[in-house]
Order: sequence, then structure tokens, then C-alpha cells
Amino acid sequence: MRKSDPISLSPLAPGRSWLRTLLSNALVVVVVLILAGIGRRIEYAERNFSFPWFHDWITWHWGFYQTRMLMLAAIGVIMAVSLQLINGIAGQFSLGHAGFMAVGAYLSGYASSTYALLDPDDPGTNYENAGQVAWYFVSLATVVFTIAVVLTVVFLLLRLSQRLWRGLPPLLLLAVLAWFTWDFSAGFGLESVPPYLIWTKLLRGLGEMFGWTLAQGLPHALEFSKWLPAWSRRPLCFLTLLTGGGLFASAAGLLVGLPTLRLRGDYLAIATLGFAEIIRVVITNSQALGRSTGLPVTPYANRPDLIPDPDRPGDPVTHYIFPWILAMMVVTIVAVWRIAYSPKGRLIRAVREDEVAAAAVGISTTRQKVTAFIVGAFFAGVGGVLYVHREGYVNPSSFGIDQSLLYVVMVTLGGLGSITGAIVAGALLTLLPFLFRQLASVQALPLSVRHVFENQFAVLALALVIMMLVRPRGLLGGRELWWRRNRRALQTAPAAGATAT
Amino acid sequence: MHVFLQQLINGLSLGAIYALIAVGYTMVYGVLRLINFAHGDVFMVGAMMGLYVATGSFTVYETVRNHPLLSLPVGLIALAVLAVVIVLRVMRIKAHWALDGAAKVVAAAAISALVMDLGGRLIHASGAPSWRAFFITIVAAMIVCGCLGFVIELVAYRPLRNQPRITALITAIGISMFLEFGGQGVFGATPQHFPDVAPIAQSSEHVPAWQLPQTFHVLGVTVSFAYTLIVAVTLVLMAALTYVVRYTRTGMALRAVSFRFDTAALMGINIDRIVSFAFVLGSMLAAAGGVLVAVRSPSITPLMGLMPGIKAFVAAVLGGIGNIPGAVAGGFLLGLVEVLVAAYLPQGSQYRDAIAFVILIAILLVKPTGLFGRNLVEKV
Repeated sequence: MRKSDPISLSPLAPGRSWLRTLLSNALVVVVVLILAGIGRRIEYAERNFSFPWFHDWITWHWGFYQTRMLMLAAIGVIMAVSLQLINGIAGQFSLGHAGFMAVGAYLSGYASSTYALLDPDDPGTNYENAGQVAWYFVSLATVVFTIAVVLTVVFLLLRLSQRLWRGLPPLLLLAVLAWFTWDFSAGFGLESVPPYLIWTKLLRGLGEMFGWTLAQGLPHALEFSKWLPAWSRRPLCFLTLLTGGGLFASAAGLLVGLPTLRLRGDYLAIATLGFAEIIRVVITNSQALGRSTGLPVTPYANRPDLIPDPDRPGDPVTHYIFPWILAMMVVTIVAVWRIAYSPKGRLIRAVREDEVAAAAVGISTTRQKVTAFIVGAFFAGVGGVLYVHREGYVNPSSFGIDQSLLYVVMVTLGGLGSITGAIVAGALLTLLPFLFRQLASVQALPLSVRHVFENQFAVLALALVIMMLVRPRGLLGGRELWWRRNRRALQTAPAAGATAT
Repeated sequence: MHVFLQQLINGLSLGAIYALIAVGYTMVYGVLRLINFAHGDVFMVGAMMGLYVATGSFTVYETVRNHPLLSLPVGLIALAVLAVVIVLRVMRIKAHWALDGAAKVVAAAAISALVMDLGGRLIHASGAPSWRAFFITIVAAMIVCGCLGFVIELVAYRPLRNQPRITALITAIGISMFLEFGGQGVFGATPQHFPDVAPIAQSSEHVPAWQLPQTFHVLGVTVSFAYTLIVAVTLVLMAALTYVVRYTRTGMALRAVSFRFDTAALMGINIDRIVSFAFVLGSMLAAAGGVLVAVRSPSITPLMGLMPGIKAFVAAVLGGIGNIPGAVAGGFLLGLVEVLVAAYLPQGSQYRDAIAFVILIAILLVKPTGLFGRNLVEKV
């Protein structure tokens, strides 16, 4: 890697020096934190809401609706860019991105609706309870870790049994599944579970472990939250929510990515779709997460105790969450860019171009694909956290197949492999429904045209089909926005697994 | 045991519908190596077209017919284009490809409109619940959806035959979304009620002489007649399909194309025609499935094709994609498993949708080629 290498686009030349790498990344982090307003002291003694930041000017001059559109567009960009890492750069055709968003959204939504309030009597202290939110995530992580250990042990035993007889693992798997089904249906709903129902006991034990861990740590976590300085509580709490949601989403990404490693394009698409649907069905059947009616979550930093300034009517939710959304959008773009145009990114793209050749050269295809899934799912989870804390309400239908398909359309329309393409298409496709809705209500247009605009998704789908017929490479054709023509364009590969028949 | 036999018939009827749709998926995949995401929506259009034929109200046609301005020219244009196409075919003149394609699309639309109108009139004349009405509904829906499948292949998939597969996949997704949301716009998003076309009595007490009872008893179990009708019609259609695929020259050509695409072209098989044939056959079966599912649960919406489409794809994968008997077996198996799990697992009915995906993931992990599929070795 030399300074003159055209692929590297970082401000500091990436040498092998860890200090240089740390400093260059720290610079980005500092810029982001300044954008997020961390370090500003917010005085809670003041009851007047009049600390304008740049986004408050936007709300005042453009209006609340337009600002909401901007925020949703930013979240759309986060989703599109994170999916671009999986679909475009790693070449994995994932149709289940909304599932990762759902994981991040629901887990963080539940955490903030149950644990974010520091003082139950004072609604003004909402989102100040960083410690308890963190502890909730930690206890959930222990449960997930235990389940992962059990599943790994089962899997390894199945693999070991292969040495006895080649056909043994599927039969054993079926036997284990049948045992589990019988066990679970026999013990379901029983008050006291007899000891021979091992799986039911295990599940109940996990639940009890979760409750016990939670109970042990919550009081100490509350003390910790109260010990934190007042100006840092809210940012730290939201940072915890973002990190927790993102990490659990990336755990889901690991869960999806590992079994689908040896699947080719079409099968991979349906398998990821299936995982997203399973996640959605589990959420729909979970009482704690609100089933299909959804989960109400107080929007981030909605403070009913604040008295808005009559001259400058603002919106406390926008005031507090807009910088976070913008900051996380920047972080996502920078992170995915830095991964894509780095040696690691070249490894990932090598796997996309020709998996067999990459494996022959010594690249671990497993590791590259799983990395793409984990990082992409992390930012999808972050997008989910931001979405639920802006909207204040989340239900499973916002994370269904239609949403996943929309994200795939965003990525493909922008051009597979192009991050700026994903940004442009993500913002455009999030804003277009609003535009269409406004066009549909314009009286000047004839009725038939207005009726067309009312069916916005049909028009979008038609536009997608026409785009695929006319310009299959997407709007930017796999290139980034400002790359000059004499730079070598990173071309998109033929679809993973397009074998000649 | 009682409950088990009832759930068995229930599962078989559900599986029959999955089998009908899965065969379409597997034929298209076998020929083009493409997952036709829009196939579930063709199933939905079949149900909708069956609704319009059965109620005798083909609104678009009626509107055009009654319109003082449009009726005459549109009818004349449709007939003229049909005549031109027939003349061109008979005299084997190959027109410019774009005109040819446009003419084919218009011809397909004209055939669909004619069939719908004729079917509607016949049903209106003969009276609703009767065997004749049922037959006409199914045949009309099949013809219309055959035309639709033909048009979809012509417009969306044929130009992309040499592009990377992901382009065709995205186009398929686009067509699927277009059919769903366009259907919401054209047919209306509210569920519509499918009228009773099959001569099955609505209640067990008062059975008119010319109708069949709703249930009949066998082995001490009360079995719904509607469900057995679904299974019977499916078996008849599958028999017809087997005859076409095995004992006709076109069927042999279809098998050849799915085996080796390039070599079949070298052997003188018209690939375009065979691909269209596969699409038309698959779409016809999906339409039959649409009308049958409306017999089972008479409420139809434009979004009803999404889940059955995905589940039918799972069924096709389960049986071995590219393999027609496998798709049928997979469909029946999936339907059975879904119904039995919903019946016997505690709170299983809430996990109905997830069952199919769990089966899919299990199959893809354990035996990706499916139950009956052959091992595809990937050569370097």
C-alpha cells in the first residue's frame, strides 16, 4: 500500500502504523461526536426550550413535516448503505435486511420503554438511565451466549457423529427436533415441569437466569446512572441503546450468515427472506414485544416538562434525535466506505468476483462473507433503533417482506457496489412516496394521472422494471459518484453462482 | 384419529394448491434457472379473473363497451391486430421484432378480454352454482393467466436472458410488486367475496337436488367435499401435465431445454417458444390454483399471492427445484406439515407462516438439492 495507490481515499495515508490508523479513525469519531452535540452541556434547570441547533433552524424554516422527511431519508440512507455492503460489495443477495432492523428496533424499544426512565416520578428524566439499559443488554447477552454455546455443542456433536456413519447427522437432527417438539408440547403451560422434560426445563431455566441476572444488577446499575454527571446521562443512554441494538442485530446477522454460506444467489435470497420472516413471526407472537399491535416507545428525549418558546416553536424530539441520526448516517457511510476501499474490502470483493479463485488464492471466503453480514446487520440495527426512537411506535408490519424488497430496490437502483449510489437511491426512494402523495393531491392534474400517483408502489415497481431493462447496472453503474472515467471502475460481477448450464 | 383424518384432508387440499403453484416455479427454474417471484401474483390474478368471470362482471370490458367513444375503435383495433397477427403467422412473415412483440401483447390482451366476456356471458346464462359454471371459471382463469404469463416473459424476462441472473431476479421482484400494488389499484384493496361456483351446498340440511352435499362421511369421519374437489381437480391437472411433459414432442423439448440449454438450441429446438410454453403452462396451473383456493376460502385480496407464492417456492425447493414430480410431492408434503403442526403443536396456528421457512432452512442446510433433486456439481 503506497500513498499513490488510487484505491485509498483516506485523508491520512494508511501505513502499517497502528497509531496512524487509530488517529485517523479517532478523527472521524471526534467529528461525529461534535456533530451529535456530545460535550454540550444541557442545563436541566432551564424550563424553556430554546437552545437552537442547526436542525432547529431547519424545523423553523421548512416545517416539521419536511424535517421528518429528512430524518426518514437519512435512516433510509443508513439502511441502503448497510445493505450495499452485503449485496453489492460482498455479492450476497440478501432479501432479509428488514429483519435486522426489526431486531435492533424492538430490542432497543423494549429497553427504552422499560428501563430508560431514571426517576419514575419525574418524566423529565427520561432516557437518563444509561446503566439499567446497559445491564438489560448485558443480561440478554448472557442468555444469547448460553443458547449459542448449547447450539454449538449440538452442532459439533452432529458433526462428530458423521464419523460413525455418513447419513447419521440428518437422522440425528430429525430425532433431536422430534424430541424437542414432544418435550415442548408436553411441558407447555405446566406449572411445575417434571424433570424428564429436559428441553422445557432448559428453556425455563434460561428465562429464570435472565430474570435473576437482571434482578442482581439493576439496583447497582441505577446507582451507576445516578453517579454519572448530569450532562452525559442522556447521550450515554442513547449511545448504549444504539450499541446494544446494533450488536444484537449483528448477532442476528451472524446467525443468518453462517448457515447460508454455501448457498448460491437464488437460494441465499430465499433463505435470508425466510430468516427475516421467522424474526417477524417471533416478534408477532411475543407478548412482551406487543404482538401485532406494536410497541409504543417514548420518542427520544420527548420531554413533556419542557415549555416550548412561543416565538420559536420547535420539537424536542427533533431537537435531540436529529443530530444522532445525522451522526450515525455519517458513521455508517464512513465505516462502509473504509471497509469497502481497504485491503479488507479487496478481500471481500475478491470473494464476490470469483469464489473458487479467491479460495484458491487462500482467502477465507467464510470469514469475508460473515464479516459483511455482521457489519451490514449492525448498521441495520442502528437504523432500526433510530427509527423506533423517532417514530415513537413500532409494529411488525414495518419490517416485513415489502420493506426488505424496498431496500434491495434501493441498492440495485443505485448500482450494485456503489456506495454513493446507495446513498442517492436510499434518499430518493424514501422521499419519493411523499412526493407522489403530494402529487396525487394536486388538483391541477387530470384525474387519471392523480390515480396513477396514488398507487405509488406500483409506479415505483414499474420504474424498477424499466430501469432493469434499460440500464441494468443501476443509476451509477457500480461506480462512485465523482470518479472520473479514467479511473478503473469497480465493476459488478455476474451474479454469484451464475454457472453455465 | 378422527381429528387426524380431517386434518389430513385439510392438509392435502392446502398442499394441492401449493403443488399447483410450485410446478410453475419449478418449470421456469428448470428452463431459465430463474426464480419467478411474480408467480404468486399470477396466482392472485387467476383468482381475481375467476371472480370476474363468475360474477359476470368484467368491469374494464363493460366500461369500454359502454363508453360511447372508446368502444368501437378499441374493439376494431383489437380485432384488426388479431387478424394481422394471424395473417403474419399463417404466411410466415417475420415482422420487425418490436412490432412482433407488441402485436403478441395486444393479441394476448384481446384473447383474454374475449375469453372473459364469453365466460361471463355463459355463466350469466346458465346460472351460478353448477358444474358448467365451475368448469368455465377455471378454464377462463387459466387462459387469461396463460396470456399474462406469456406477456410477462416476453416483456420482462426475454430481453434479460443474457444478463447476469441478479438483474432478472430484481426484475421479477419488480413485476411481483407491480402486480400486487397495481392489483390494489385496479381491483381495490378491500377483500372481495368469491361467489359459489361449484355446486356444493352451503349447509348440510337443505341440499337442493342438483347440488352435492357439503360433507360426506367415510370411515366414520366427516370430510368436506370442497376439499376433496380441490384435490381431485389438482390430480386431474397433474395428470394432464404429466401427459404433456412426457408424451408430447413439446414436452420432450421442454425437458431437453431444462437439461441442457445450449445443446437443445443446437438440436433445433426453438428456445423462445419452449420458454414461453413453460411460462404459459405454469401460469395456467397457478390460475387453477387461484380459483380452487377461492373455493376453499372465498375472500380474495390483491396481496393474497405473496405468502402462498413464497411457500410454494419452499415446496419446490423441498421437492428438488427443476423436478416436476418433486414439486408436486413437495407441495403436498408442505401443506400436510403446515396443517398438522398448526393442529397439534401448542399455539401452533400462530407459527404457521414460520413453519415453511424453518423447513426451507433445514432443507437448504441438510440437503440443498431437495428430496428428489439431482446433485449439481459446480465445475470450476
